[in-house]
Amino acid sequence: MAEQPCPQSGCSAASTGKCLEGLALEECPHWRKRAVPAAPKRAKPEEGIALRDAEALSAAETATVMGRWPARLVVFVGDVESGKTTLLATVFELFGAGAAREHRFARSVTLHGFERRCFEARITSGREQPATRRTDADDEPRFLHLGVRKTANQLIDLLFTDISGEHFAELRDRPSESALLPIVKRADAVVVTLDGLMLSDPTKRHACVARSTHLIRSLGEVGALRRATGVQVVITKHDLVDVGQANADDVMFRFSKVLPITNAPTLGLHSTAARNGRGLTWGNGVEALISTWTSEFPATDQRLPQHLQSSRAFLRYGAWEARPHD
Amino acid sequence: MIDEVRLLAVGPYGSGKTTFIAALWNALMDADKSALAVDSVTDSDKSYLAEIRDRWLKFEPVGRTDVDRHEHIELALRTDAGQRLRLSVPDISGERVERHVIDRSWARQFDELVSQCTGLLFFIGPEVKDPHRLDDAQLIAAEVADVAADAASAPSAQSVQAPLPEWTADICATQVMLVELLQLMTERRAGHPLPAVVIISAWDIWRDQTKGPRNWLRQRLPLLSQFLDGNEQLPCDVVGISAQGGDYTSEQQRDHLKKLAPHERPVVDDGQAVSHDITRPIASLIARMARPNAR
Repeated sequence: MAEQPCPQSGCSAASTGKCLEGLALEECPHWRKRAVPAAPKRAKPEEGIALRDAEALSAAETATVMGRWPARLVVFVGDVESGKTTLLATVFELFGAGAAREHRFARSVTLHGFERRCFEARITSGREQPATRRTDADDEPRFLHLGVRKTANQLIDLLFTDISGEHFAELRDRPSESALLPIVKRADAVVVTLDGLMLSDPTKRHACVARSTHLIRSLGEVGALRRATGVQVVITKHDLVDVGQANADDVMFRFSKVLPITNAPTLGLHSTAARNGRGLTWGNGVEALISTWTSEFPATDQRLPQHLQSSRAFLRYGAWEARPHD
Repeated sequence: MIDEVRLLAVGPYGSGKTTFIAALWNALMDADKSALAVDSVTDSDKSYLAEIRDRWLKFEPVGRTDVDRHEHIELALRTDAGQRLRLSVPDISGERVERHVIDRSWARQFDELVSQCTGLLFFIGPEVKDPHRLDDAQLIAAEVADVAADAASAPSAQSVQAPLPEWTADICATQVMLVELLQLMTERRAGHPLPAVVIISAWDIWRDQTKGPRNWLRQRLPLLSQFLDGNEQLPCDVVGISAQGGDYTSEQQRDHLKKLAPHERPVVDDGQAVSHDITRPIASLIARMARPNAR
């Protein structure tokens, strides 16, 4: 077998076995840099096999997931920039960082869709501050898939929507005309995101809550919420602001007022932090939310009494408590 | 006994497949020290294997071959117990493996190997693209006050940069790329389980810094670790292997390795015990196939 030639000019070590510089061959830095031997050649493949992509799914493409696994559909609704996509990205990041305590990642056919949504909060994005790219109002509804295992190895598939906040005005004001209505009708959980910064601003708080309660009321009026649908209110940006107990109570009070109009039997309140801030670690509150989606459905977080007694009554379960990666 | 065990060795660029094959070929040529024997190998493969073994014996790096060449090694082997097995290494460089995930296609030949193999040797290299979060980086910087102050006073890097990069699949975190590759492979097998051994290469780098290969996987590639944990489609063992035995660029380690017989150089750590038997992952994979339901 022929030796690869030494890259040192004038050195014939490959044929003579002697280093030009008088070194033992294994000690010579030039000899050790010889070209790596090429593996034997085979014929180039003549034809390729196309593989499925890993981007977020269109509504039609969700059939590929739903047909294989009985996935639970989690629909995020909320104002523009209320943190829907950031929350979705944080759910995935929790698994990617190994920070989830009671759940393990099992599968996803939309890994690139998740990665794309996580990108601007990562160093590789070249940004100085973490961000999330806004979901384009022109985009059709997209869905992300995540299969997770719980401690008993039970595998649960979740489908999340990623829909621009611009679309929810029509769903709120003219639900019967909205293309989103069939999606909401199929939802196992409707997650209403409220921007914590808005809730902390007295000039914006009431309008912010009113838009969302109006949306839930409208969905109830057209029968879009099933008996099994859980409605969850998530106050986002907890890393930036604590909206305070009184505000949180008020939010729940106002949602509870519209709930009897709907069929939805449960209402939950959560707060989440997608970034580090105010002593909270990113992901705070997110696994508690995941737990409600992987529990027995309908979501088993705070169940409301038929007649509202005290708004504090359904905050007593501690979802409001801030714990790292809770 | 299975009629013929078909093993497929897959791993991305720099994941240590070539060095593993070089050390394996050395073990196979040193018949007294190996539980495996060679049944057949083509002349061209034999020539290539002899050359990488030669480099391995001389403490020269053997990995990272030229991606433009089509590379495919196939070995027909036999165990002491007479079990026949075929080991296919369809893409030694591993460059194509990453392209499968990025380009969303692979060659029909590779597809056939994936469909027909009965066991997988899945290689992971030491260079990992972590999905570092900006806010975590900021937290670390803030803890180092001087660094934070310097950063605050320095001109913004962003202000002099070109437009920020767009996301593309080739900057995916390593763990996402690996999970996606395994998902695609299992999907193409129409649900048939694929027993596997996950090989963490260059284990000499990590061996003293972590409590076993499974723990390393949990810490460095948590998404992949979770994906494998409890996965009925991919029942697997995880081993750490240093096919070189140490870092050739370290004089101290080279001196140590020179004192060893070649077959004693590889380090194979399955989390329970450490040995020098480079054929052990193959033996454990064959054993796992004999008990497919065991985890």
